[in-house]
Amino acid sequence: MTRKPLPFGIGNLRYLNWFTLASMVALMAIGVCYIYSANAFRASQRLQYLFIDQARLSMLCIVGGFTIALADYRTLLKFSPAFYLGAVVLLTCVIFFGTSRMGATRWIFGIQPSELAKIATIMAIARFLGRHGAAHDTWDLVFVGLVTALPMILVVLEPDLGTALVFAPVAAAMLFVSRTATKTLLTLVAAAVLAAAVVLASVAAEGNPAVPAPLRRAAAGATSFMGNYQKARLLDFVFPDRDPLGRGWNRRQSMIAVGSGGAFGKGFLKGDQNILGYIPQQVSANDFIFSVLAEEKGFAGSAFLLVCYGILLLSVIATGGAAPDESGRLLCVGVATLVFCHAFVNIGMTIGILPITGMPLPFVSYGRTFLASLGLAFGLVQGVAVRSGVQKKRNKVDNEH
Amino acid sequence: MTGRKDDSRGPAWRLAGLAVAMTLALCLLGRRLYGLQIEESGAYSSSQLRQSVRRVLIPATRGRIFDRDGVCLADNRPSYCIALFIEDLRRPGDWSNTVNAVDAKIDELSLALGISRQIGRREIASHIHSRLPMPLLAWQDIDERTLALFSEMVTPNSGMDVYVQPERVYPGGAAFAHLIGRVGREKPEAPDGETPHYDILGMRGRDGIELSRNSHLSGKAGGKLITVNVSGFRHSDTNRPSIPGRDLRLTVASRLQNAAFAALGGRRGAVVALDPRCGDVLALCSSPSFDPAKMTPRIPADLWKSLVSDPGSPLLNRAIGGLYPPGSTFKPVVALAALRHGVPASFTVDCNGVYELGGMRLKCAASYGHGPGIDLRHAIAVSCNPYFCTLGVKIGVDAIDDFAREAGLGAKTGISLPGESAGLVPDDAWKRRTRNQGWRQGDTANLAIGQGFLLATPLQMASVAALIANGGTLYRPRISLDEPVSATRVLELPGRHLDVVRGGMFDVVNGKRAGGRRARVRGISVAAKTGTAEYGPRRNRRKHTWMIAFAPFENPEIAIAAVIEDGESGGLTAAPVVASVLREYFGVEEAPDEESEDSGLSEYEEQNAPEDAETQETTETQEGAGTTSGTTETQENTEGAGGRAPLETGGEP
Repeated sequence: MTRKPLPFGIGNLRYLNWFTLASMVALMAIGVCYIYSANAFRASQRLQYLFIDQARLSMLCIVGGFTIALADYRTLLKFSPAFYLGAVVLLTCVIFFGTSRMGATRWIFGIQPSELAKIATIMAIARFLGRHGAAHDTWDLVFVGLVTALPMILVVLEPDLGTALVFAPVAAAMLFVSRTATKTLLTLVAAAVLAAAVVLASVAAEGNPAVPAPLRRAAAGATSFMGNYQKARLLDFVFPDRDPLGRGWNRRQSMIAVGSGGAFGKGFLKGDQNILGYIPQQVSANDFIFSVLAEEKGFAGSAFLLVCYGILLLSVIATGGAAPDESGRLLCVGVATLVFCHAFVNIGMTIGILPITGMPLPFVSYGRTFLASLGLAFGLVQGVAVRSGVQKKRNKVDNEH
Repeated sequence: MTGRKDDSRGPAWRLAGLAVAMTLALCLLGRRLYGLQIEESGAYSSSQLRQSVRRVLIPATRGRIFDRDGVCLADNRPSYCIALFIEDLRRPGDWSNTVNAVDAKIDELSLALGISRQIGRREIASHIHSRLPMPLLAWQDIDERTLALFSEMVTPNSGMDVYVQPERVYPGGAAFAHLIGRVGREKPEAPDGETPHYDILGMRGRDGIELSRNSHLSGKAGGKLITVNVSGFRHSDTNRPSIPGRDLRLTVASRLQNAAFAALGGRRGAVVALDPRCGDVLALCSSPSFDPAKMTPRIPADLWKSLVSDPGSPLLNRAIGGLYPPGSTFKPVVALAALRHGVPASFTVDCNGVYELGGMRLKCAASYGHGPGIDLRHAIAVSCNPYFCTLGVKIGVDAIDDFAREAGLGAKTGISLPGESAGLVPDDAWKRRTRNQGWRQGDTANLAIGQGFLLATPLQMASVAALIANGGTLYRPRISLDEPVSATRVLELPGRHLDVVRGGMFDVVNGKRAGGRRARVRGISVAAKTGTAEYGPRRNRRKHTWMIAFAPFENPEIAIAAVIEDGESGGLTAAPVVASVLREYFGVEEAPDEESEDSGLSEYEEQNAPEDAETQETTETQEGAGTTSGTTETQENTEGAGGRAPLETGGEP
């Protein structure tokens, strides 16, 4: 009656979420193309061949993702505490032994532990909140808060405020989707809004000579976790015309690139803003890859990219909805939120609706650690899809008997 | 779902809510992208072009100028420059690093080529500051040896190249300096109101034909769009070709021009030769002149200073801008005016050597008078002052003025050259306006002999000669062959009037002991009128000497006016100049025997002429008459009786 299962359960791959896979592969392909375009006119050979690097790793991610998907994600989640601790240790090492690039110490052994920490935290929270029969009391919330805050603080110390800030919405979304009471959630939201307001007001007050000196000193103390450039970026965002040729430069040039792309763009490899260096070459392949795409393919290209992200996010959430257990559900929500935050903040900053932060565009931006961690994350998500498919099949068989 | 308790999971609406929130957020991004890329795309595109595209204007090649026979009078020669391209020499870091690199490159070239530097650090810095994407001209106008040496050093991406810019040359030299004019370096004119970021200096006419026909010669500037990168260095070019300027063919014959200029021999004066049949300018030169070769590409300050302060005013184009009292060359105009006024050609005056009017005494050139019964033709032939004074007073100032104006005096001829003067035909209203004095009969008498307030340019007097020659058509002088032949007006002159005046002018040259016999040309019958106009304070005895002429008498092809400042007399000073132009025109060799026959006489006359130059004695104050106070007419043809003989020889045209 039933077919004989294939070795390693390879036949289970038919339960993969094909929408997720297709949109992911599409985004990876776009990424490889535009990393090529972004660096095609650079003098450095290394930069010119960056896209090959990305293509290789993308394929590795797909294959690795299949492997992870075949394993039971619940078994993998059992290792999440160890994985989490490992990430925290690496983050700590970064602070002491990391290598600096562009004013921030984010790398160690050629990887960015902060990217790994994101997925490790998602796994840890998913496992913790998804355990059987857990009542989500206040202590649970405090524990989740601590689990989130520890890597966050370590990342802030690098300093990398943008990356650190992603932890909060991811954890918040997972809490939101879990059984946490609505009242508790509202309290959390209120606290977050208050904190954001205090930070923003302090930053604005610190740089404003009209504010009395003691108040300014207090404000500086309250925002001491932020670097000066982060404060400046925040102010640039709140007051966009403050400094058009200084820090506002990247934002302005990025908007010119996107806007001048028009409906259908200037054509592949014809983005003047990128070629002429108005989009700085250090960031055109990663943080500002979207500007390159939007300039060369216009609104058609950027809308297509948004549609890809839409399919990706909805299909991951759908996988979560069909997950066999709460931890799988939360895992999908965490990964979807992570991807969403990155995509939204990255695109938002290139079109001038969010401040400039170093948030790469998922699957598209060049960045090995981030791509690898996404490969792991989507392997887990596909694992959830495979498990739910297997379970559905089993239930069907059970019902027939 | 299946077999699981619902309370083990969070509420399903929250998951749906999250999905909806993310979708909405992506839609928000999409809406904003639509705004940027569709609605405001134009503004961003123009910002993009504004910051990365530089428009450069490139001047067109200037047209050449030829004489009517195809002899080149203004040409372009290539001037080789050494250009450095900053984008190939740039250094990272501060701009001063790049300045240093360029500076070092220039030093290196200077050493290798053995030439001294033309630009310093300051010029390099200012070039990098303001004209970064443009080539930096390190050396301009290098010689051939340097060019050869340098060419071997140029390799692709070496950051340097040979750059050619045109330089104007004037093969015609000083004889054509006033006529052709000169050019200055100037930004080319931007087409269609575009504002260029950079421009390469082109040429613009500053004087002469170069100025008046600048738009014809200059063509239309081309352009280049330079895309610059974020640091302002040149990235790529797009070219729009320029439309070269058109060549210009003049009506001037350079051999006549050269002959006229040589005949002037550096004396202050001017010669204008016209074709009376169409108004073509055959020669138009002014002396003293200057070497136009020294004026390009720019005029050295000391040369300019010396030219401006030179008492000979070498920069003045006397042919069109010099104002002189025409003296006796005006008498044919008065004669025609009188004939038209109804005075018969047989009107006679007895000349006893002096003309008296009220308290004014005006002596004739012939101290003892030309004798009794002088008629009009004879009066022209011997240039009898009392005759013309009487005639002028008889017909009145208005009749003279009207005809003079019709003949083109007192107004610009409309020749397409800058700096033309209108001259002056004085009348009662003018005198009241400028001197607060009414017009007197004495003024009329003075006017009738071309003195007093009357002023004319050599070009105007050449037009008068042409008008008499062609029977009454006043052409607008045409300087280039592409201009249409156009007549300013046609005067109704009866043939019998013309015959009398032309006959008189024929006698001036061909009569026995005629005053203008030095204008004779073998085999050609020449008609002319001499003039000697005193100017300045009387004691200085300074005279402008004139001759207007046309030839051949039977069928005139050329009309000439020549003026020489501070000459001896029209017949002695101006006539030989006219003769040499005519000889050149008709291709006639100078006849030595003819000259020697006259030489004895001329010596005699040269001694006597100053004695004969009588001044007008007047009770009125004539000092007010500007340059021509205390005037009289000198006519070396003093033989009163002798002058009558050639009357019979005057042929009918």
